[in-house]
Amino acid sequence: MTERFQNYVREPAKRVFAAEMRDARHSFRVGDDEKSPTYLLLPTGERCNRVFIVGSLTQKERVGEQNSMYRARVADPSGTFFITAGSYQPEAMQQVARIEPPAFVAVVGKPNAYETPDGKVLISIRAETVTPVDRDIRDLWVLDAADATLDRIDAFGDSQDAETARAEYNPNLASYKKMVYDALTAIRQ
Amino acid sequence: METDDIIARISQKLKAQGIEPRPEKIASKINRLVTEFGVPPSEAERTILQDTFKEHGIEQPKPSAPSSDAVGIGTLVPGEWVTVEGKVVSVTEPPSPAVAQTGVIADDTGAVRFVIFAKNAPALLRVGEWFRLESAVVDEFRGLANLKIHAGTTVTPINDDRPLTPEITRIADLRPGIASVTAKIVQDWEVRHDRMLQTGLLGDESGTMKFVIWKGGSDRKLEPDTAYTFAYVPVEEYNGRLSLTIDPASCTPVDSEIAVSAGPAGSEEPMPLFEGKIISVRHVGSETVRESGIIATPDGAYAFTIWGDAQIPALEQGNWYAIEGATKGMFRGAPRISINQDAVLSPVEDRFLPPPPATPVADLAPGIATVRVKLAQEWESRSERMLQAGLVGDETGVIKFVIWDGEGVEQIQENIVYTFFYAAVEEYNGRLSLDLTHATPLPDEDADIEVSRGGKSISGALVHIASGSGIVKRCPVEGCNRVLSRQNFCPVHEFQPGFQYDLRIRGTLDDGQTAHNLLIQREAVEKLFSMTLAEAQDIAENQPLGADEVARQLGDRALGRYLTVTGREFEGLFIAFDAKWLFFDPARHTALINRAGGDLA
Repeated sequence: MTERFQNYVREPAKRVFAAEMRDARHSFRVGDDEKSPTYLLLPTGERCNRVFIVGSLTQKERVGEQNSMYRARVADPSGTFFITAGSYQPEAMQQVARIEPPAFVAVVGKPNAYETPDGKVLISIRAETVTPVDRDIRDLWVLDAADATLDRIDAFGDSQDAETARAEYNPNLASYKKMVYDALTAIRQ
Repeated sequence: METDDIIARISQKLKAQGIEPRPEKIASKINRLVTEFGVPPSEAERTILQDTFKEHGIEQPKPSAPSSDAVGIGTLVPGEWVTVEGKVVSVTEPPSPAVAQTGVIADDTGAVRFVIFAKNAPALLRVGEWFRLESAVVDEFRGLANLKIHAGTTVTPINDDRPLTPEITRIADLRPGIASVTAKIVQDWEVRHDRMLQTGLLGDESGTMKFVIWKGGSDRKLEPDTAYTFAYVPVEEYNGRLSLTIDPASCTPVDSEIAVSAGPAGSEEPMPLFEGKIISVRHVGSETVRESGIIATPDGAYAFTIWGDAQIPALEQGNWYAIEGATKGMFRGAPRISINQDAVLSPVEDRFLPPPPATPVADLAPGIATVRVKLAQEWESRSERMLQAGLVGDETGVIKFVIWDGEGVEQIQENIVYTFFYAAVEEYNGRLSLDLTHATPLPDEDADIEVSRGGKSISGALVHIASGSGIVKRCPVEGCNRVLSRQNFCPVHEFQPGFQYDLRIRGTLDDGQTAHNLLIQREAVEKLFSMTLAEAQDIAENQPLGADEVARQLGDRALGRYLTVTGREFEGLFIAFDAKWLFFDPARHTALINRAGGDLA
């Protein structure tokens, strides 16, 4: 076994509240080979290929042919994330199988945008790992996500991602700031 | 109260499916989800309803059967399918190409924003006309109810103009949403935005509120000192303050005199009478801020601001004052005393103020602090106004400092220990720095301190644990130390039955911007998990899953958690000799709340 690390740069996991994730719908690919990463553009003007979220798993169900996949809902103070864990993510699938809702979970995964038959765009997160955590970690994550979201709002300027976000979403940054405020005041009452 | 509403809605929907609801059980489930697990109430409602249907073997019904009876617009609740009849009182330019039309629709119970998406849009609505909308969806957009008119909504024009009188809300009672007010324009402010036509303050007997008129409408402005009725205008919240977005075309001048009352105060707490010594004071002289500085009080030193409307004489540095009617709030994460028009101040006799104790660098928090430090590193100044910048430190750590140029301000020298009295500790993006410009330096040429240089620390979430984490066997050959395979095979020295055990975690620490390759060394792993190498070895040798069991246990406890690790980065790998769990920090919480809305805009 070697101690070498892969020489590609791993995509960082962005901290995003559910309410912002729900508003996202524009995704794009950089490069055109099969392994090129796909990014979801966040309304606050940053691309994301991976997310780290912590919330409450409220429901899980097995779906698909031969029940080959788990679908789960994870709520944060602002809304709900849709999580999937299929047979290509065996670690995440086994982890979801062990967790009984409701439970606080930390999820690392990749966001995907897909269109429903009635033309709505839904964002689901294909989980890489799902681990049970406690409320303290959830609260810590809310601070982390708040910090990151405020940083994105403050930095919203002339970057290419911000330009695209402006054209695609015309985001009301004040409302995302309000979302952050509401999330922060919803914890530790 | 909200819980009662949820119980009522769930009970009603269960009854509709022939299930007898049990309110106590529903209440305890709501409590468990909302209080214990922090789930938003709407998600809790949905979860309980679906779980109960599932228990009774009922296929999930649609959110609720589209009812054909029109409901009052003022009673709409997000998450429902509804039929409404209302008058389109305004339409606005769509905010994005994905949207075909937005506007406001009202009936005599209230008004709501509506949206029609461009994709599969039914016919657009015409302003001033009545419509019946069947099977529209009430959802929530930016915290407010929003009526979504989609491809499945039946839109029928109603060909008679029913009377509709907007209900007037007092300004003090306004909430985000759509409302109608009668108010007088009391201030006309300078416009600072290209797209803005006019902004200012309007008010009624209950209070005042900011208003904004955007360009692109009728380009009519509102007359100062004139009262108008503004029908169905959006009330928006920004930075914790409400404002009205007005379309002058939809307002009518009214002929009544309104006695406008002054606006409400912010989230400042009034302070009892206190005495303090002015450590420093600077004249600012802007329209809003007169002076600012630092005041030492018996319970600590604080930054203070004297606002433009204050009715007090100029303060003298070094003098004592008794201050009544001041307020205390948070500004940029640090407490701050505000002195405004309500404050009364009288000089009091000078007296002895014990020197404030020094705070270790590692314990600094935003505010005013006294530190005892030495120059650790000097940086190239990046601005003309900056006299000196770099790192200062003590035995507990180092911190960035800055000294701004000004009269009587001097650079600090190498190899001298200074006590800086009343330095400003500032926070920017979660990092602290010291502003020493206005602090009083006291050099102590005989003293010396050992500045802790430590390694670099990084914080983030452990988002991945790589294989090869946990207990590993290493090649015992001098200078090799390679990790052996399960069969004790070293790639260089072949089979090595006399291996040595080691404990480590390899993974990815992710701060949201960068995913750091991380290796946590044995001492740090032992400390972090309260598991010694010997205990790990016991598990590895005596449990059926062996070393995998150690990796699983460490993974379950570390994955998805926040850590601060200290160490050095080496060719793209961060090697940590120390690691700590990160805990919830109430001060950071407060600072973020301020940043998200408690602060001044």
